[in-house]
Amino acid sequence: MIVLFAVWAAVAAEPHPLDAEAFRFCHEGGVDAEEAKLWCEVLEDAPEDRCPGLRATCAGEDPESTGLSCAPSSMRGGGSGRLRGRLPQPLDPSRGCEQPRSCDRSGCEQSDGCEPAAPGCQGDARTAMSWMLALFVALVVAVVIRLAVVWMGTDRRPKLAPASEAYVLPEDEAVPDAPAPDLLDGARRALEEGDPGRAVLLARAASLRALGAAGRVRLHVATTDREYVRAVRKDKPVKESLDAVVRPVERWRFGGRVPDRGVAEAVLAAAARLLASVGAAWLLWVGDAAASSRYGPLGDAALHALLEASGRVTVGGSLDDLDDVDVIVLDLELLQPSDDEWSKIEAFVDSGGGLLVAGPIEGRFGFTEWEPLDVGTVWADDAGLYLPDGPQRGFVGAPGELWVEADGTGVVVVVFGSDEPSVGEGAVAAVSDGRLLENGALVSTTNETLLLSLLSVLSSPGDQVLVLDEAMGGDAPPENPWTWHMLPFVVQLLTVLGVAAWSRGIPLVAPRPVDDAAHADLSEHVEALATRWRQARASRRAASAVARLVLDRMGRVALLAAARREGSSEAEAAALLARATEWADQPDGPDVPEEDLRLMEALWVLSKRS
Amino acid sequence: MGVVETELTDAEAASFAETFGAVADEIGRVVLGQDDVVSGVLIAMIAGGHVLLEGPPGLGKTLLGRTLARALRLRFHRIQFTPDLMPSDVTGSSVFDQRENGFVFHPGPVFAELVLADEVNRAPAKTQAALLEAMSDRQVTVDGATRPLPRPFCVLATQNPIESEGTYPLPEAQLDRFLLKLLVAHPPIEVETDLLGRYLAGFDPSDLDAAAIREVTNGPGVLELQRLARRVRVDDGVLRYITALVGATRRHPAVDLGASPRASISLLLCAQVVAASDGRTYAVPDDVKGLAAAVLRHRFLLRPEAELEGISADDVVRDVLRDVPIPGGERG
Repeated sequence: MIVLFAVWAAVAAEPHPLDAEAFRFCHEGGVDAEEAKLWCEVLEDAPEDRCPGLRATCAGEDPESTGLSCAPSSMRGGGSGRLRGRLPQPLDPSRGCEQPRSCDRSGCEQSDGCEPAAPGCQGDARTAMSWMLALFVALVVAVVIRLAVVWMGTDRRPKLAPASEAYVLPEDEAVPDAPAPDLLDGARRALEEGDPGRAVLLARAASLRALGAAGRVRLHVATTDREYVRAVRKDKPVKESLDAVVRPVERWRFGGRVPDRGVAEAVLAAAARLLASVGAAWLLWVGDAAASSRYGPLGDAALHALLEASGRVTVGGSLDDLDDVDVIVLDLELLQPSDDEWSKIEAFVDSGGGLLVAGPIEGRFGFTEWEPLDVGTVWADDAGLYLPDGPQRGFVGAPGELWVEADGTGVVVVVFGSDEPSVGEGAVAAVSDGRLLENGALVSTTNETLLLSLLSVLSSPGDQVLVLDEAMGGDAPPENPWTWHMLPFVVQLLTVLGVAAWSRGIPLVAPRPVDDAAHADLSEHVEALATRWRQARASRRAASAVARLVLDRMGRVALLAAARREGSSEAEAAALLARATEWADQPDGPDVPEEDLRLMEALWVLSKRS
Repeated sequence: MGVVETELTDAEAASFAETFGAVADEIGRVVLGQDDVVSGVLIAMIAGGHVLLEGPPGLGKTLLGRTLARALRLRFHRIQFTPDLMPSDVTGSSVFDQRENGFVFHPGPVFAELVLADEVNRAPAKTQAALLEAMSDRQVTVDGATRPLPRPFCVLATQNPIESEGTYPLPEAQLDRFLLKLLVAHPPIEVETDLLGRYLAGFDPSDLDAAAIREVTNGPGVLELQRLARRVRVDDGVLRYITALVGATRRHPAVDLGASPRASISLLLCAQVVAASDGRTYAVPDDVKGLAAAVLRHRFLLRPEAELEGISADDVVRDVLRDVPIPGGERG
């Protein structure tokens, strides 16, 4: 078992491949089209076989016509011009193949010197193997538990059949299963179309969906609107907004009072406030999960993959624990640290850490200004930086070594190290335009090489990198669950629990030891039951229940011994045991009140005195 | 279905809520830390039902009854049930009057608008039956003559859950006559401390005059509240929810005999009162859910094996409330 777990852990710990399911915008035409089209011009700097999906999107082709190809981190090509001399070469081709690069549905292409069965192409096999192994382990654990349950005989709970399956309300009354912003948009459209009733219903659904997606409430089929309101009562603005939404809705749905336009507008305004309160990040996510996911054109998954492919180790954590961190990556356009957090970052750099920072860093490390640039479309001088419409911002008065200048109007990328007094013993690489860190930018091999070069200045393979947008954003949306490394383990647990619950209906705990106090409780319990049933007339079922209880708790041997201690002969004790066993096994036998009562009282006396 | 003949107006609902709140406040000034019980008793009275209060002695059940009677200006009688209590001790009896030269009926303590039947399970079944018959029929028959009980008529019966020696448990069929079964628990420690402070300040529970309990309304006022509550609108979805809840108790694996249609009616009446007490002219599922435990917990019979496993009636109600979808809820 331990070996199996170890093997599973080794397999599951592999970096998840940047497969077609993750970077869908890159592999499938039409995915995240609106955002993907922002990066069309970058394709000029990408090899022909890279991102066919994005090419199709930009060309307006049918999504079905595109195949699957490399992820952005395939790291081919290299920088050019001014940078070429000082930048490290792109990763070794054989190493590059450790990531899946040219996989189609039927297998792997041979390209750029990669062997047909390059290790990177084994990612799918590893994933499949991890799933199979997880299911196998779950099955083994379930069988072991099942055997243990049978051996210990702890099946004391009554077998409960599922209750109330027949009471499913019509689906048209349920909360629509759609993202909150879509529902709110639908509410607005309904209002414009002159249907305020439908508008308030959709506004309510949007509010509940937003709260559910943010983890503020757990949407459940048996929870009332007022219970949702009570669940968020500690957050006054959210509570008031939700209350303002659900009251008019219930007045209409249960009070029969159709809302007028004014009421509907107020409800929509309250719902919009609520959605804003719950958090813009969440709204982006639920509004268009694919677009805003880490794997969309604006996500940062490619950066993580690049870090891992170049030998760095991405770690989670916070600024409070930087002992093992070598480099921090910080996108200031996504995350603005507080002064206290900046102090920690500066102390980290001062003590020798590296910082890759993108965005408005003015006022820190000697930067004085961060200002708009007017560079032109797809700006890429020989230094190499491909961004749609050129870099949007530049630094003025930047310290350190200028890597990419913007034709005299500013500086786009700056690197400086311990020769600058403001950084102490560390090093900082600053990028004025944070888009360089996005998935879309890494379609360009020039950008990829530039980013690798910056990383190589700040760190070496094996260093640990903390990407702060993830580490500090506790409320960040979760990853695509199908790529979670822990998912197989979760599947195992669920399978085990499901099998155990299905087979025996018991909680997975050790059997309770019966000590003296518990035995006294048992006696009193049996006595109370016997008294009650004596008053309410004894029955076969009642006597059977008492017999089962006493046999389970005392056991046959102890019951025989107790009967003999009370003066019964061997034969009488055996007869009592036989009767108790028969009654316990056959609860549906005919009622013989006197006999039932006599058995109950005999067992009661024995259980009380033994 | 689901629509009452004349729906309550907003003004009537507001007036109802104001009166209800005022009565609860008056009682709450004397009976501390039992807000749920107070509102439960009020709801039952306005819904036209009776209440079974279960809890250990010394928690102010008698004080609650007396204060309620004072705030509603109702006649209040207390009957201490004992093993030797006779039916005529409850209903009254005919006594020969020498001056009239005939039998004259002397009404028993049941002839009051609010009756506290203390430790109802200590009297034998025959005496219990006399009270329970009065509760359901709102009249008593003595010596062949039927005499109506006053209106409103509400019985608060109490029983102690701990002692079973020398008691006569109420049969399930008769328990069903109680609209609500409320569990009276010990108050929080800070409330108990506050209670001691009041006693130090001179509070005497036997002297409600000193407590200056305001008479918020009276018997006819209560009857009017009852009429108003019956006009609260109950949507079809809420009706379906009620029947689904009650039906689910009949299918629960731990239940031998589920709740009767009387339970559905009780839930409906209570939901109407709760809605009106909140100033609403319509009932919502929350109104049903809030009182479901008090309405249902004494109306079904658990299987012996479930009882042996420690499954209680409240566990069953909790299961049912968790499983039955509310109208318009998430698909789950």
